[in-house]
Amino acid sequence: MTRAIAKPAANKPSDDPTFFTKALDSVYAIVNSRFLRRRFVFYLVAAFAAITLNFLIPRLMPGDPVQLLFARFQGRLDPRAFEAIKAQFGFVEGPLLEQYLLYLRSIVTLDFGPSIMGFPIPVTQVIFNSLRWTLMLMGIASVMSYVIGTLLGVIAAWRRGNRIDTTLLPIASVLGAFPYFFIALLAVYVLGFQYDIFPTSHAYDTGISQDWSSPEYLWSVVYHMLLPLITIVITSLGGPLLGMRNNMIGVLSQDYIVMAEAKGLTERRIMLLYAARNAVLPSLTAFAMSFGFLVGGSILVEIVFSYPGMGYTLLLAINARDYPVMQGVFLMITAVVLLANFLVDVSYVLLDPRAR
Amino acid sequence: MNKIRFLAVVMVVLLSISLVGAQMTPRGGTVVVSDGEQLVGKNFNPFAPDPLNFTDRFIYEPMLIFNPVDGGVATPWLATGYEYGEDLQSVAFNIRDGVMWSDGEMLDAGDVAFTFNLFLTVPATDKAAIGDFLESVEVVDDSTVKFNLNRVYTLAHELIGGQMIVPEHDWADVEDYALFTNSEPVGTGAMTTVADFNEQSYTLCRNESYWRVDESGEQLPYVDCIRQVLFQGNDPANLALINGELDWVGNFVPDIEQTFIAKNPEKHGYYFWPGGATVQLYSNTTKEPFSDVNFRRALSMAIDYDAVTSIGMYGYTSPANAVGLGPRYDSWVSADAIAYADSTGQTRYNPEGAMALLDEAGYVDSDGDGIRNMPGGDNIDFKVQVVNGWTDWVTSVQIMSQNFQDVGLSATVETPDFGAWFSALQNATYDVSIGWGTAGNTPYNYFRNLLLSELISDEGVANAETWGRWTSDEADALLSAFTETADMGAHMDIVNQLQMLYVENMPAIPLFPGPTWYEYTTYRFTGFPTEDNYYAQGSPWERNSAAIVISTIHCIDDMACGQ
Amino acid sequence: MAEISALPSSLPFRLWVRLPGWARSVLKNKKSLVGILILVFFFAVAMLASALAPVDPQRMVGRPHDPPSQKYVLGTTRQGQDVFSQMVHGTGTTLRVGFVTGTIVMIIAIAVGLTAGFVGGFVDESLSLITNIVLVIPGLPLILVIASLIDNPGPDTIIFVLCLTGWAYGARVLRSQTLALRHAEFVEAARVSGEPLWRIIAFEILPNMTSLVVSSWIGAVLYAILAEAGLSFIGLGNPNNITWGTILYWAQNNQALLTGAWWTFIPPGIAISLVGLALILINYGIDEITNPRLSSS
Repeated sequence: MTRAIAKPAANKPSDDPTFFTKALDSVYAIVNSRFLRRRFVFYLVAAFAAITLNFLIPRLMPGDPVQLLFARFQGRLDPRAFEAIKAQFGFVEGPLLEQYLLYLRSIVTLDFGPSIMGFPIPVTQVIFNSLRWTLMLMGIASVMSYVIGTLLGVIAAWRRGNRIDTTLLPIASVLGAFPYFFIALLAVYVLGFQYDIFPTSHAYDTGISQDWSSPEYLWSVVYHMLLPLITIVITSLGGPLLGMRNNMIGVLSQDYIVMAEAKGLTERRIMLLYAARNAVLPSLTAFAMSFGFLVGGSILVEIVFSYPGMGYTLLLAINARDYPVMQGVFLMITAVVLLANFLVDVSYVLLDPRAR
Repeated sequence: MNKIRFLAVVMVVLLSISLVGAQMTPRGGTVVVSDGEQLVGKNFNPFAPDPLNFTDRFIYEPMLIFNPVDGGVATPWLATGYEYGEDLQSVAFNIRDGVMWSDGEMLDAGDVAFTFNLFLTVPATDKAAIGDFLESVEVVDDSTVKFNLNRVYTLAHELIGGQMIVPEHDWADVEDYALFTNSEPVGTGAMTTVADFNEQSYTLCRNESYWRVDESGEQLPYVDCIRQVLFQGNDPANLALINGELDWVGNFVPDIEQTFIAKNPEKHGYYFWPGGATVQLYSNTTKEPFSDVNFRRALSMAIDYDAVTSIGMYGYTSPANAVGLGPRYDSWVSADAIAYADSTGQTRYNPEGAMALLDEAGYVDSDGDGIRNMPGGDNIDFKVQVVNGWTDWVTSVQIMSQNFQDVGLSATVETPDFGAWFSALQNATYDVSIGWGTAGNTPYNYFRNLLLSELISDEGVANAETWGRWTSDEADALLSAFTETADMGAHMDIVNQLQMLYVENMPAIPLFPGPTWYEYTTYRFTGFPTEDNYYAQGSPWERNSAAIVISTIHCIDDMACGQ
Repeated sequence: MAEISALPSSLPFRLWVRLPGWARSVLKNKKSLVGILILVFFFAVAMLASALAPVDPQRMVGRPHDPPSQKYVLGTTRQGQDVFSQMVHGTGTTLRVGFVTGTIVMIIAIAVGLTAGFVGGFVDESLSLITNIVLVIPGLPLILVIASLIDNPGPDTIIFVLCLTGWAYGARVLRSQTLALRHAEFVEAARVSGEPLWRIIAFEILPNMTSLVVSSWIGAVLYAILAEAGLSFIGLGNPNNITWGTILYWAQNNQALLTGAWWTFIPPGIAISLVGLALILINYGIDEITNPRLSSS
């Protein structure tokens, strides 16, 4: 199955299909794609390897969760109660293989049991509370910066020397060269603290109750999201902008572009149908990959803006050696990244006939 | 009887409202607190490993409160008093009349007995290890509970008196106490109604039938609600504090005079009472050269204590005395032990003395590389550990390692993460490390957790603060003798002897008494403890004090009271 | 060229003519020249650190938070250390983390990405499998694990971990670009003419991805420098090693912005972004050289 043919059957001479048959072709290609089927098996193997590593990594860390719980109290908890608390945490004991089988079962049933740092609160609850804020903020932010960055990148490459190319690109690149938290802290300190334009912390005003149907609450959510969103987008715009522009430059020197120009096709058509379509492939990969960094990157956002989220939860779990929560978080990241990769592969099949 | 008394109280309240209405303490308002809590889920079970912080401050209450500023003297709370039996093998508590649970039921001896039987029958709930000394619980009458001990144990009242009492009628049917999250708590505390709960904050509101009244008979607390707000780390919390968004905070704030007080000296206040546990420098006495008391003494003389407290600790505390007992235990300090320490000059910054002592003990630079060697010629090269990210301690350790280098020792700073650091201390895989001590009601807890050999498990894990692993039969005997007598004079005598052992053997080097972080703003509420009127420890995370403070503060104007 | 050829016997000229053609083009481009000069400046600072700043950056020499003065050009930290000396001594470590990591990451990424993309089949399957597994392992927790497994995490630990987790991204991007190029006519031609695999990869495919490789390398260097700063900021660095990241960490922990001690916070941020700017300028320059048709000038 994995031993594939050296030359994929992509070089078939094809006649010039109309747009309609092309679309049908695409659907057919996705469903029937040998490539995608192979990729699917591949993803299963990758997921299994990642899941197993996820299981092993936390267990390599020194420190015992019960001891750490005690340590957190800094002598305010009687050492003799050690056994009492150990009794409550019975579930993390036992042979490694047994723990592994339990872990595999928990993945299938999506029941990770109680967390350690918040015992007996279930892991799913701990993760869910933080996951939605991370997905919302980081999802919006990464889509925004990629879409804006890619579009600007196309324009910048299209007309080298225009204002976007000579002004916006350097500014975006330099902003991206600052450490994110440096810009974010300055923003919080100046715009939030000194001038009081934006709130300095939280995802919504702590004085009002959570109610998604209340306009006051929704406004509060939007208002609190503005500064984190702006700082993320302006500091991460440079990557996709520069990446897309460089890809475009690479593609624009290709023979088929020269040929298209020679054929007298309009510039717009060349740009969008030929150049951008091909240049976007690596950008798309970058976008899918960026989901993996979502949680890692969001730790900084969450610390600076005291925004609730998964990154900080993960940091807490690591400090408390809360294996169940760590595994739950790992699993969510793994699932999101694999899913994103699979979607990218699907779009590859659509955008690049050679991958069919 | 109870009901009549309650009615009488209500009458008095009504009467006082009508008579001195104009002078009544203003009521209402929501106090906004940040004590560094890291919320994970809705868990108000006081016997869970780490329930929400407000659980044992404002929802459940103990029989006795030990206000840290009272020097170990108990304040009667749900009990009006306690008395040991003549053989010291039992202790009886008198339960207060007229205390009502937040659901309207009366508290009685049955609830107390239920709580302690829970510890005996479900070990997972026994966080204070009551089962270690408690044999059985007897309800003598409606308002008396007798605790039978399995041995003479004169600290029983502290541990028994400090446990949260839970309502039998609400708790008896719980299926699994270990997995119980108690999301709708019924308590006797001042704030028992869960008004709001989300991932950023939670709010408790007043218990309408709270039992405490003030001097003029007004029901307590004056404030309506208390809200815990969570921050991911200190910095955003400090910004909110300086902005006046928080009323009551227990955070470390750097350069507080400049960053916080200067913004509004009228409304901003703090007091870092040095009543916390003494921070010490531990060394692994199972390793050479730390097994040599002279080497440990030389280390202690090399440390520039003033630099550690003024730069490392931002001047928020001052160097500890030679026995490591903070100002909270002034009356316990042994003059003999202090005199001994004065004669050796230990725990005083004296680099020349340290060098002389090292020379004398044979730790000289025998290979001419500028660094001292073991008497046998081996290199001395040790690491001083500190938790990564605990910047005040990291700075302190950086200063100390420079001090050690200055007397010719090769010392480097190592900053493992919390888990790795703690594991190294417990398993004796470290050289030297900074660490906390224990602050109890009396110095007993401090010495016990430092010296008691029982605390080192058979597998060799050093629990509590026995990290230095210096133990002796003498210390063990003294510590057990302390729990076998209730006589104050005998207690004093034992603590004196423990202090002598401490200064002679230096099981740890005392650095400074821990400052207790506490800040407040008075834009909305007043009545917080101040340095001049420190009626309780101000830190919102100190549960005994917090229960007192919440019933003392009140709002200042209509706007604050209306929030 | 004219002004240089006027001094045919001078040392600069002799060096100049010995340079390979591409290097001469890079140095002739105004943007990349500025970028290189900035980098040369910082590398010089790193190498001459002890001469430029004889004060021990760890020693507490002054009063806490002394503002900039003649004695302490950039003031002192809360711990009374000389900020100028810390900046100078931190340069080397910061650059080392950035360039060593960036280069190793790029070498691995090129080797894996191009091989996988060009060879295809089983080789591609296995390399992509490894790449994707590395990509789905959350990098930050891995860094934490390694930091706590190693007694004293320092810059080398950070280099190690960033290399371990960082190459997969570049490999994936380069692989997909290789996929796009692999059926290009000139590659097919080379294949038909029987050129060995490594020659096709090195001389046919790689030169056609120069701008992608360079921008990926620049991205990797920048990523490493920023990651070091970010990790230090979270508190995962070693506060005993002085890097621009740890200076920022200490500044933030002592609330430099609140206390007005901007001199501990602003310089490291500016220095990091200057290195970033230099890298970006070099990238621009190389772009313009490889695609003169599209140069903005």
